[in-house]
Amino acid sequence: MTRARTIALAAASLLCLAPPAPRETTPRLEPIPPLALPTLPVHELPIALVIDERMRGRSKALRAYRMGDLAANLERVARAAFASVEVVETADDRDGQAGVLTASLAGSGHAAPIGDVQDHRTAVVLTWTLVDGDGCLVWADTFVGHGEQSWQGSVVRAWRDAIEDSLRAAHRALAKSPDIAAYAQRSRAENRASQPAPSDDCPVDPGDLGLSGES
Amino acid sequence: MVVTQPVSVARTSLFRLRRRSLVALVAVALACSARQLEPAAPSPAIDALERVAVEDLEVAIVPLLDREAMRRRYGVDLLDEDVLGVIVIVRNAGAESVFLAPALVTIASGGGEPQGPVASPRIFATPALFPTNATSRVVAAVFDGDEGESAALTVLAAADPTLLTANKVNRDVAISRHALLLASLFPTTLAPGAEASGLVRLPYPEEVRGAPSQICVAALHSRSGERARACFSLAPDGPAP
Repeated sequence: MTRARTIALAAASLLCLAPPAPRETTPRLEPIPPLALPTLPVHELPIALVIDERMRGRSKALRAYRMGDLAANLERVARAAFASVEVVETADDRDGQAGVLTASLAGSGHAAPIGDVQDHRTAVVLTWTLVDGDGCLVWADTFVGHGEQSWQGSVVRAWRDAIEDSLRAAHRALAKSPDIAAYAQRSRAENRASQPAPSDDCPVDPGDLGLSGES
Repeated sequence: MVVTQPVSVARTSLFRLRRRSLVALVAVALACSARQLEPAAPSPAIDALERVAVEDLEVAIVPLLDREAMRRRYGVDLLDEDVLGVIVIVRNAGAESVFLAPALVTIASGGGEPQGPVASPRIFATPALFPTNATSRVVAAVFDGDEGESAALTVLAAADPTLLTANKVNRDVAISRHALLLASLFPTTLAPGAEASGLVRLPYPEEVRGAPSQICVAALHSRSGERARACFSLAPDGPAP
């Protein structure tokens, strides 16, 4: 055996013995398919939808299970419930809209007991708030979405189901909320009078509920 | 035709077979010992409870004092963590919507100042996270809010039993937190006639349990911001509305 061949064989053996490469610490985000929503009543209220970078898949919780970028589907929910929607990064970027809608991740959970003999169970909790032009709370609600896949199924699919479940519930609640409908009506009346009602203090501030008012 | 394989390849196959068997055995053993929690029971109907009516609101509470029931349902005894779990049930019997949130629930123990709910991380120390690699995978994780996290890993091929046990504990903690997350009370708008319920975790250290406590649940009227508040006395040995 030549010396070169011996070295090559030794190198090959070392490669075989080498420990496996560590798994990626920041897994690639899965593309989230467009959310199909039913046709429900639409509020005639121009709103700014706040989608900050955390909801674009950059939060630790969203990254951990490759939940991906929620922005497109958050926007779909908003556009299905409001006649006019402009997406902004912060509430300060609002440009005259009568309301600011935000969604924030209140929690998420996953339980897939070891042994691969039980189902993947996931939950995604999103809290939505709508504040008026003065930052006063008009409406707030929280939606727990559930996802379940068999032990043979995809955990990513279970997460997607939970997110979609939560977003569909949010759409139903936004579209059917009597509080938002009443606010839209008041807002239109104020616009017609060209005299927005002055408000010195918020009756209820998002902070009163422990909410920041922005996602 | 007879095919022979070199001895080294045969040994490798045997090793792989043994390793797979070991992994399967460990997996089956852990699966058998996997924590099984009771399905989360729905909150009791407010009509079946002793409730306080205040300004068009009907409010009832159920303090969780049965340690065994807590372990079965949530996998954890909250009292051991200096936390009193309280299921809060509110019905809006008025004509105006109200806001309800865990931040509006307080406890005053032993004549002290009212305190709001505890943040989740206080309940469980965040379990240690073991690095993932090709032989491990995350089996359970709970994120409280956006950034706080608790995750559990299992290392199926770990040779170190201590590591395996530690990760199983982490997994159990994550499953408990998952159960608590699903049971929680979240911020909501209660339309007229609507009802909401959920679990709120209040600070309840050992040293105040000998004295009576007062638990108050508030809701804010959406248009006026007025606060409606119902309070309950908690005797050292149980609730007394």
